[in-house]
Amino acid sequence: MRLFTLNRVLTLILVMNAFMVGRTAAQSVNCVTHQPSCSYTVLGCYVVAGMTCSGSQYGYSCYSEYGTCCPDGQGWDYSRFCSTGCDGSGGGSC
Amino acid sequence: MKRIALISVLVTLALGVGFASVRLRAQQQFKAHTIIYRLTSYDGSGKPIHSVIIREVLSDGTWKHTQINPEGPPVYTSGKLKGRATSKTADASWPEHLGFKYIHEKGHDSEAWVSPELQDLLMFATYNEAGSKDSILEAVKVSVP
Repeated sequence: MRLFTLNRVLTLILVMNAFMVGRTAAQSVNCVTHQPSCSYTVLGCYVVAGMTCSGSQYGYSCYSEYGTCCPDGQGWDYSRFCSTGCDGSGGGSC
Repeated sequence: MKRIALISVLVTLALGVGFASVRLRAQQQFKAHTIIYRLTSYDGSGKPIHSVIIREVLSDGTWKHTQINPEGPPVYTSGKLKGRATSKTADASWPEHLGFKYIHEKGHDSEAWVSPELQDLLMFATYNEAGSKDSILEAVKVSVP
C-alpha cells in the first residue's frame, strides 16, 4: 500500500517536472539573429534574456551588440548572434 | 653642409609632430561615467523579461558591463570605445533624460537617445523584422564622478 502511494507521488513529481520543462521551452525563443545594415563603432553589448541558442550552438548565449553607424551621423544599428562571449570587437571596419 | 643639417632637423621635427598628432588623436578622451540600465527583452509568448545592466565607462574609453538576469549568474562583457557616439552638440531646446540632454536618432531597425555630453546612450530600442519592439535598454540612473 505504502509502495503504491510512493509510486503515485513520484509519478506526479515527474509529470509536474515535465510540465515545467515544457513550459520553459515554449517560452524561450531561439535567438533571432540580426545582421546590421551598416558598419558601426561598437558601444556595448548585452545578453538577450529569453532567447536561447540551439543545435551546434547549444550552450552559447544570445548577444546583441550595438553601435553608431560610420561615418558618424548615419544612425544606429545592432547585430545579434549566438556566441560564448562579446568583447565589442565586431561592427566591421569604420 | 649647414643647410643639409637644418633640413634634416626640420624633417625630423615634422615627422615627430605628425606621429604625435596621430597618437594623441588615437588616445581619445571620454567622460568617465556609470549608467544603470533596465533592459527589457521579450520571450516567445511576448512576456517581458527584465534585466539590469551596470555600464562603467572610463576616460580612456574602456567599458565594462555587469548584467544581472532573472535567472543564472551575472554576465560580464567589456571592450574599448573606438570613436565618438555623436559629433553633435546639445542645443537648449533638446529634451532631457535624467538631467542629460539627448538627440533622438533612428536607425534601420533601432532608435536611440544619444547624449553628446556622455557620448553614450540613454535609451536604445531594437525592432524585429515584423516591426515589433524586441528589446529596450533604458537608463535609470547616471553617475559622473
